[in-house]
Amino acid sequence: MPTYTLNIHLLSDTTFGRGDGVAGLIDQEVEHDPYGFPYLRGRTLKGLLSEECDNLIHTLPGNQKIHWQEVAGELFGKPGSSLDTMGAIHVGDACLPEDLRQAVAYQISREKLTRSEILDSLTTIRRQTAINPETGVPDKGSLRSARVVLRGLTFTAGLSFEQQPTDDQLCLLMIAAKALRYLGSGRNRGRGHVRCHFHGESLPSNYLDRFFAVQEA
Amino acid sequence: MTQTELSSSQRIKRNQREIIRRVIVRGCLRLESPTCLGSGDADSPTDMPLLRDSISQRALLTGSAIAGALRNYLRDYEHDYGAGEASDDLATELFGAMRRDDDGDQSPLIAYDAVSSTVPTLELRDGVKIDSKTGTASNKAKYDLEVLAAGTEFPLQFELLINRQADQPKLLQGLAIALQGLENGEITLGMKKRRGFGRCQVSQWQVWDFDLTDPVQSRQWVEYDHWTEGFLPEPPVKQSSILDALKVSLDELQDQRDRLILQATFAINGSLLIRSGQASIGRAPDVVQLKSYRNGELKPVLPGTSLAGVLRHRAERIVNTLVDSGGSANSLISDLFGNVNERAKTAKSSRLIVQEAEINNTHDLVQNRIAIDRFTGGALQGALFDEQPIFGGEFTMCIELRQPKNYEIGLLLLLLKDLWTGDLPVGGESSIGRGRLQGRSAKICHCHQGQKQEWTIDQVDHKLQVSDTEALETFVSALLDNIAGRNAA
Repeated sequence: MPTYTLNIHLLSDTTFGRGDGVAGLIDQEVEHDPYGFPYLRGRTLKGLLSEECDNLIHTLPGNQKIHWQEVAGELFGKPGSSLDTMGAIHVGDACLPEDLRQAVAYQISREKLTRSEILDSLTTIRRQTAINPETGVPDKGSLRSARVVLRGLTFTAGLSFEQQPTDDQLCLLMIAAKALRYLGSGRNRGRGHVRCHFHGESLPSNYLDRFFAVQEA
Repeated sequence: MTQTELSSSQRIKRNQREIIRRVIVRGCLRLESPTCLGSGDADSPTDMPLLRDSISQRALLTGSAIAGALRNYLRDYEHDYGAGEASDDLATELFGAMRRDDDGDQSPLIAYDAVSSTVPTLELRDGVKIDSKTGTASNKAKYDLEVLAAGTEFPLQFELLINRQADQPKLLQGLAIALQGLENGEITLGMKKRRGFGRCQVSQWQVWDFDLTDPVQSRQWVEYDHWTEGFLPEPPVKQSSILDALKVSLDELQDQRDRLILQATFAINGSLLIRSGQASIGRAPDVVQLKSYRNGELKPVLPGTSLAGVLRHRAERIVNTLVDSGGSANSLISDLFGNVNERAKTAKSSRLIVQEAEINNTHDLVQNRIAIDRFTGGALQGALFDEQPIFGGEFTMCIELRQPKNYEIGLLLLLLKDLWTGDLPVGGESSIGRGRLQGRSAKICHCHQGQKQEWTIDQVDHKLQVSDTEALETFVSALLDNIAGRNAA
């Protein structure tokens, strides 16, 4: 079962939203594990990669579009639940380094550290309001706060396949990793600006040529 | 937004944005006046600490703050100040759904967070509310702020995603107007922007335009260096005009903003003292005139908060003098200068924008003073103090009134007259003759729907030359009529 990794380097503060908050403190909490380490769910990451692929495939000319749509179908799966429609790829959660997490887990078990200390050391809180255009003062009920993961951190996700992936599939993944630039909440407003790298053995070196090769129908 | 061509191999039937073009814009934003980008954090020695980058000491300007400022400017430009949001606005098109709209589209414009390019110089500003009845400081109305010094630079980056269905020219026009606001220095950021803080300007732009339907350009976008901050050495030449860089023309769209800009140059008649309250280092006098960084140099300034306070107080006095006994004209003042109703929990911001003024050609002189004992007529024990006001110098006051009414212009003219003749002193220690001004020249400009009307007042050889006395006189009569209740408009 070949395994590849995707490194996600945060270029700006990021919120991996999880849809809830902490009463009285923040309105938007980040997804974090029992030890307080923030992480990005594999399910979300797969969606993001798949979206970036679709965005690019859309713009390709005729023949190529059909070819790459098929590859994307094999790679990410098709809707409906049967064995044929299952995607070839399994996307793991994007986490901070394993050894760090284990070392901290040990410290937490010895009660030297607490979960909230870990979470606070890796995140900060941002507050914002909206200004009402008619009165020019903060809009009523618009003050909100969100937790953000500090920029500069690198998260790693494992991508695994049951069978050796084809070169086309790897090529598409590498393109998706290059095109994935924004993720998480508030990604249109500066949060979640990231740079991704795809790592693994025997990756096709000419993936850009391959993807953008112009084949007239 | 469903796809039109469906094939058997197609796995996706979801609603998907079909992005066919991406425009990336970079610029360098430079602060022209002190700016307070507060973090809203309560645990700090100052009332409003600055928002800092999470891993360095540099200042942070969030993408949401930039987008909010641009959105407001764009709406003002299209509909005039104070217009409510509408679903077919340029601003809604470019910046996404209205706040009250639960299922609107997301914004096609991505605004990046900006981290200042250097560790910024900080200034500490404090202020206090002066009670208009007693003329002394109000109780518990003192505040202090951390501000970024003028000259701090932020690298900006935007990316505009254009759908197949989108109205391309409209989106680009919206973006061009919004960014032109930054280019012309008409957009302000952060706190107290109506009192002179947060002026900024972008002087150069770099624009990439990727047509994704062309595989060559699509590939260029995939390889684009989005992680390096600031300008790139690569192909696009830096341009000073965003309209040229985006290749957009704004001929059809007219600036709808209705505003009056008053610029007046005054000489300081004697001395001026705005107490800075900064902890002085070494052997500085007890009280020093407020100074602020301009181009890396400390210059004496007259802050917008001081000037606005003085103007508001005098405006109240004028209105109260003119009003018939029993009548109340307070709404005129609060309408103009803004108000906060603590009980009803409502507030309205000022329509009058007062800029911070730099004072040029001044001299610093230290004065030693002492209180005299009224009983003995001798010097009072322990009452010796020294202070360093500025002497001489001149400055240009710049104020802007949004959506002016004729009687409000009349009131501003009366205020201008009082400043001009030295009757209305600014700053501290006015009771010992500081802060009196002498008018030199003034320019009043009313811009409305692309139309411009201008009046000038000049002092030449101790004589006033006014470009159109009658026109100005009608404004003042309008004020008198309004206060007398003869004409509500």
